[in-house]
Formats: sequence, structure tokens, C-alpha cells
Amino acid sequence: MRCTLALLLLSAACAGDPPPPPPSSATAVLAPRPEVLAAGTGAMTPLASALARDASCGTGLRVRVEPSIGSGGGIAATRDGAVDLGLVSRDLRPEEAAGLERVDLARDAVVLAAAADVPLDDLSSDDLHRLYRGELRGLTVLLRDEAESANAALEAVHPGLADERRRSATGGRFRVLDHDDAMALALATTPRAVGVFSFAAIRPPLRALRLDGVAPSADAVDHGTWRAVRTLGVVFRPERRDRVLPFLALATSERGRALIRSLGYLPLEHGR
Amino acid sequence: MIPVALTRPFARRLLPLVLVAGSLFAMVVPLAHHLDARSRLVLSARERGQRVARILAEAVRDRPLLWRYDAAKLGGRLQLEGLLGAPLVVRDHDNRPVPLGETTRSPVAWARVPVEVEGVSVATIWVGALLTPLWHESLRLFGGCLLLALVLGASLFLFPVRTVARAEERIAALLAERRVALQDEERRRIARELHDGAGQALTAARLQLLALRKKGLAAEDAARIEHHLDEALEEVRRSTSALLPAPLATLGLLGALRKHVASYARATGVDISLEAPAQLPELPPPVAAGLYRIVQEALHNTARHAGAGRASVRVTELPGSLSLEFDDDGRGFPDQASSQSIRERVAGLGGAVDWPEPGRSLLTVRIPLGGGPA
Repeated sequence: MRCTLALLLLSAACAGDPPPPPPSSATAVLAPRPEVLAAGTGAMTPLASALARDASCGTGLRVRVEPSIGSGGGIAATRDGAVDLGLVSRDLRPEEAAGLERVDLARDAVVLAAAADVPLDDLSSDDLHRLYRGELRGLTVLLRDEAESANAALEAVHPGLADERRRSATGGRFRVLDHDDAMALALATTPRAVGVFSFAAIRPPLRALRLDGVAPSADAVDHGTWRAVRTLGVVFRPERRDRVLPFLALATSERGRALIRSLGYLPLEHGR
Repeated sequence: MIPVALTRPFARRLLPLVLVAGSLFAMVVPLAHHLDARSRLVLSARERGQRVARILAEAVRDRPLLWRYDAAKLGGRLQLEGLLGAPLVVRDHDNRPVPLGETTRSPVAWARVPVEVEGVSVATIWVGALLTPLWHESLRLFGGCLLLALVLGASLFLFPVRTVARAEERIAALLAERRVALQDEERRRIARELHDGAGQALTAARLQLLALRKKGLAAEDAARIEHHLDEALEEVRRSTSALLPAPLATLGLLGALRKHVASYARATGVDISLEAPAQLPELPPPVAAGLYRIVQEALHNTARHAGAGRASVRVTELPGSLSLEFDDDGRGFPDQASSQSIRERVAGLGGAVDWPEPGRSLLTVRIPLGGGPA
């Protein structure tokens, strides 16, 4: 009987797999690459990609922009040395900022993008709240994840919208998308869909809705009439400054700023 | 009462069996539940891990170089999918931690799920199932089973032991009854032998002596021989009377009691009264003999030990039983042998006795008629 009990106890203790081993403390240093590697917020992907193309044509500088991993992911990858440039669309937290340098390049209008079949061109603030509450019939809202900086930019201008978004997200009323490319795909394929998006990333047949009669544009951002705005920049480790300097020089040059403006962003006068 | 040792040995053998059975019941049921529930928890954790693995594999396909830095977005998605409620550990293929989910210090059963993209291992996921609630549940179940095992064990032990104890009492009573019957039978046989053998021979010798006396034997010698023969005959009568209450056979219980009371009163000077119904139902010989002997023993105690001047005997017929009440104005039953003899006879007849308080003589005996207890 003792053996039986011992076997039962042993089998009880052994049900399941062994626990995870102690983790490795090594950081994710990628193999040295000839190109400058940039990754981070999806809001900067069009800007960084355009600058990379221009640099490649003009100077031979090779810059590779990875798919979006969010501002936080870009900061962490930069700190680990996995990328040379982190693309950010929000302020850095103190623990993130230590050991990194930041250069802001542009301001981006956060807009409500609509599919072609949405029978609206203009939304009032009240309509926006009703839309998030699911009270505008016939329309589907595509939400962004909690960490997305576009949410913060829009919700700073429309108090109460954050709570309505969270209620709709947790209640399963609307879909929540993690990345800009997923949002672009969902907007294009979902009937009568409206979603938070970067103005500069909008491509036909998508269009940006006016809010309270104001149409989003770089000029509207510049004039302050469009208030849902976020600042886009890059972060890098000081020891990689020489490696990223040519790219930064292009981004802050007149040529680069003109390119940025042509994409729909508002270029900053001087890097911060 | 004849000692019959059944209950204690039976209890000594039964107790370990009951303890083992109760312990097994109290332990096996919660243990089986624990094992089964733990297996189901691990299975559920593994299914959750496989869902996480699918999402991670998709992220790795989209961002093969930097997927592990997309943890914040992935975490949000896992949260929305309801996959972050349990401990979750994610490591890339170099065992570096990917900050997804949370772990815990509580006891956890782990399910390990590899993440593969196009046949290449890119990460490993451990999803934990918290064991503390299961332990609490199993302990509650163990407590319940232990309580149930105690109740069942007590029932399984006490019920048979009590049954055996009752059987032991019954067997002892039957043995005592049988012993009394055997004793009476043996006495009856010896008395018959004495009466038919020595008694008849002595009587014949006496008659022949009378005839010789008439024919001229010296009267003085004949008288001496006759005296010796009379003494021998009286001795045989006393012996047969002591072995078997002879009047019972001829007079029945009531007649024998009346005769004994009258002769005993005359012999001892004690004023003895006897109350009894005119007729009693036909009694089995052991019962009649037993009651007769009880009265004999009680009167013997009255005359020899109690120092009483008056005594009373009352026989009453009750439904299904016969009651015998005895009382005197003496010092009760100081003689142990008398009281022990009466107790054994009552027990042998399957009856009950209300024994008097010390210094008192009121004795009530009930004997069942028809075999049931009094």
C-alpha cells in the first residue's frame, strides 16, 4: 500500500511539464549589418521609408525600416542594440530615456480614416462619442490597442473618449487592431468602417473625415486648428551616433523636411 | 454466567481493518480528484499555450527580426483574447525572456508549448495552472471524506461488535441454562439410582429384619440393626432430596413450594407465607426446578444468614413471564454463595433479577415463558 501511495503522490507531483529554466541574461545583439536598421512606431513607417529611399538614391546610405513594433518596442530594441534607430511617436518614460538620445522630426495629425462606402464626410465631437459608444448605426469602428499613441492624441482632445473606447474594446463591440498595417487592411476590407489612423498614412480609397468642420492637414496642424497631434521622432544610442548621423542629417535638411511635408506630416523646424 | 470471550478478539481483529479501509477511503478519493483535476488544469493550460503559440507564430512571420520587441502589442492582443489570466512565460530560441504575461510564486503546474514557424523553433511558451485553489479544494474534499470515513468506520466497527456482544450474551445465557439443565438431569439420575438401588435394598433389608425379629431375633439386637438401617435410609432420602426436588415430580411447582415452605417453617421456626395463583401454566422442568431451587436458596439464606423471623414468597403469572417475589425482615443476602447461585440460576433461565439494596431482602425474579427474554 505504501508503494501505491508513493506512486500516486509521485504521479501527482509529475503531472505537467518541467518549469521554465532560468532565463539567459544575454541581450539580443544582432549580427553587424551594413545598413542602418530602424524600427518602432508604425506612424513613422511612411516617413522613415521615404527618407530611406531618398537616402539610398541620393547618398547611397542604406536604411532598412522594419515593420511596426510600436514606440515601446523601438525604444527597447534600440537600448538592446538590436536596431540603430528607434522610431517613436510618444514621450519617453524616464526609465526609457536613460542612455538614449532623441531627435524629433515631425508632427502627425491623428485622424479618423473612413472607407469609401462610409456615407459621412464630417463628424461632430458628439458624433465621435456616439460612434465610440456604438450608437451610430450602420458604421463599424476599428479601435487601436491600449498602448497606441494615436489613441492618446485623439483622446487628449476629446475627454471621456478613452473610457468609451475601453468599454467598447473589453465588451467586444468593436475589433481592436495592433498595428497600422493591420488597421489599413481592416479599413479596406471592412464594410462602412471608421478607424483611428495617421493622416500621412492614408492612401486612396481611404479618406480622412473632418472633425467639427475642420479638415486634417499639415497646415491645419501648423495653424493649430487640428489639435489631435503627436510628435514623431527617433532615438538612438550615443555610441551609434556616427552610424545614424547621415540619416538624421537628411531628415533635418531642407530636402528631407520637404519630403516629410509632401507625405502629409508637419516637419519640425529644428531637431530637438 | 459462563464466560464466552468473543467480542474482544473480534474487535481487536476488526479495528485494524476498519482503520485501513477508512484511511484508504479518506485518502484515495481526494487524491484521485486531485490527480484528475490537475491533469485537466494542465490540459487546459496546454490548449491556452497553443492559442498563444499561434498568435506568436503569426507575429514572428510578420516581424521575423524583431518580433520579441513587439511584446507590448502582443500582450494587448493576448489580453483581449483572454489569454493572460494565468502565469505565462515566453522565451525566444536563445532562452531570452520575452516580456509577455506574468509569472507567480504560487505553486504552478506548467504546460510547455514550442512555437515553430515553418518547422523552425523560434520560441517556447510555458503556461501555468495555479495549483493553490486546487489544493484548497482537495483539502476540503479530504476533510469531508475523512469525516465520512470516521462515521462509516465507526458504524462498520460498532454495529458488528455490538451484534457479536449480544450474541456473546445470548450464548453465555444458553450455556448457563444448559449447564443447569445438565446438572438437574445428572442429579435426577443419581437420585433415581440411589432411590432405586440403595434405597430399595435398604428397605428390603429392613423388612427382612422385621421378619427375623418376629421369628425370635433378640429384640435388642434387632432394634440396633433397625436403627442403623433407618439412619441409612434417612441419609439416602436426604441425599436424593438434595439432588432432585422430588416433590416437583409428584406435586408440581406450587405443591412442592407449599410443602417445602411448610416443612422449612416447622424446622426453622421462621414464619413463612406463600402467595400463589391456584394454578400455573405447565412449566418446562428446568424452569420449575430453577424456581424451586431459588426459593430453597432464598429461604436457606433467611434461616442461616439473614437472621429473619418472617419471610414471604409470592408467585405471580404475568403476560409471557412468571414473577417470583421474595422478602424477609432479615439482613439481606450477606452470603456471596447464595446470591451467586441465585444469579446463575436466573441467568440460566434467561430471566432477570432485581437485586435488593445491601441490607434488604426484597428480591424480584422474572422468568420468561416461551423462550423470550423477561
